Parts: sequence; structure tokens; C-alpha cells
Amino acid sequence: MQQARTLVWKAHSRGTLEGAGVRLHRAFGYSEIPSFDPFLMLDDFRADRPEDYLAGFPWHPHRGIETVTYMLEGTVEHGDSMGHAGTVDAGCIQWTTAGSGIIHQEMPKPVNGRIGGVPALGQPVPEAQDDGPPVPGNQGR
Amino acid sequence: MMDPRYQEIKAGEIPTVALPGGASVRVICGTIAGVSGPVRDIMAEPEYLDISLGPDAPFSHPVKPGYMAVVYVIGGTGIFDERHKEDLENRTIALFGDEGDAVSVRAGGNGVRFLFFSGKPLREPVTWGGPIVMNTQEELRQAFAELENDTFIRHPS
Repeated sequence: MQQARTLVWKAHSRGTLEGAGVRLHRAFGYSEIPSFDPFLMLDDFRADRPEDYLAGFPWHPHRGIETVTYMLEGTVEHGDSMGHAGTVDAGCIQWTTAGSGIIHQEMPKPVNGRIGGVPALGQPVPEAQDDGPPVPGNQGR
Repeated sequence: MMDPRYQEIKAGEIPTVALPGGASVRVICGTIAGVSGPVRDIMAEPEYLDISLGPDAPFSHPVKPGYMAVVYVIGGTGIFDERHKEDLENRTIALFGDEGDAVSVRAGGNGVRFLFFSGKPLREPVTWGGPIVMNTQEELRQAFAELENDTFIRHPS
């Protein structure tokens, strides 16, 4: 018989600005790091008004985390310093392990006038294993 | 530090599992009912599930001891803790405690859609400088210095 876990904390995601001025909803991040370990943050950029998201997340660096973008509607144009370029469409996911460092950009675009939700989150990469070999798996596309 | 890695998964590559009781689960990372998602070999051993439940449908999913579990509601309403019987709505984040070995949900009258995450806590010191996350201030200072002098990218392809 399974014993159900108890809900210990809940909140509505809160409006904040991120990237080049994207108005999004942050579910958690920063102050709650210990309790959400291994996750660092979750941002929800579902929005109806293009002015809330078209500024996007232009070229910026990451190191030491994993970033995940899951598109519920709309699309994101993506490019990175490893030479990847393309779009992440509705129902698709992009999972980046920044490791020693990447520079990338993610620019949301509406489809049929809407942008879909995009919860994105980062996971820290264990520093203790950072000198190990690259993780096997899909290298690029 | 490990090399960077990019995984892009198209919608058709993400399996959808229909469970008895009316749950439909897109498995992005992790395993449910013997079906594994396409994202693999991630150090924190995370699960990432997109779960849709019909009206009043139940759902239960095991969580390993010591792993954290969290849900984020993206549509409808649902009860995520039978003891409180509180309906959680769109854009609500909920964190579960360590005691117990499963997360148990019941959808509200219009169903519910939520994202489920679990993972193994890394218990590392976290020093966060915007988009760069390291263990120490010195590592963070070095990362920003490398950005300044154009040596940040070590694996260009």
C-alpha cells in the first residue's frame, strides 16, 4: 500500500520580468532553493499579449545548470554557441546541459496569435562530477 | 567541467501513456507504466511528466525515498493532498514533503492538467549569478571574467 506524500508548500506563480523584458510568472526560484533541490527555478511564460514576450531571451550565457523549455503553444526560435539553430514548437522540449558553458538565445513567437505556455527550469549540475567525461546520449540533433 | 549538451525532442518523440482511471501522461523524462521518456542520462535523475486527468479522475505516482516531488498546475483544478482537500488551480506550484512513497491526486469536476517533477537532491552549495550557477563566489567571479575576455566558451561545437 502506497502512502501519499503530504503537500507542504504551495503558492501562485508571481509576475516578474526576465530576459530582455519578458513579463512572465515565476513559480519558484532563488529563495526556495533548498527545498526544491535539485531544481532552481520554474518560469511560466504563457501569455496572450505579444508585448509581454516578444522581447524574448536574446543571447545570454549559462554555466553549471541545465535549462529546460517545454512549449505548450506557440514556438521558440533557438540558437546556441554549439551551432544549433531551429525552432522548438508546441509539444516539443529543449533540454540544455550548460556544463562548462554555452551562450544561447530563445525568442518566443506566437502561432495563430498565441504564445503557448513555457515552463522552463534549471537544474544544477553536480560540480563533483564536472571533470568526468561527457554524458552519453543525444549529442545535438 | 563537463561538456555542454543539447537535446531537442520533437512532439512526436514524446510518448503518451493512457492509464486505467482516465489519466493521460506525456513522458518527457522518467518512466511510467514501463514507458520511458526520451530525455535520459541526466545527473539528478529527474522525472518530468505532463499529466492530464479527466473529471474526478484519480492518479497516483511513486516517488523514490529521498527524492523531492513538485507539481505545477497548468489547467483545470485538482486535489493534491486528500487531507486538505483543497482545489489547486492554474499557475499553482505545490511541493510535497519527504514522508511517503507516492504522490496522490484527484482531478476536480472539469479535470486537471499539471506538470510533475521529481529528482534527487544534489545538496551542493549554490552560488547564483544570474544565468551562471556555481558552487563558490570564486568560480562565479572567474566565469564573469571569462565572459569579459572571451574565453567563456570551451566547447564551441
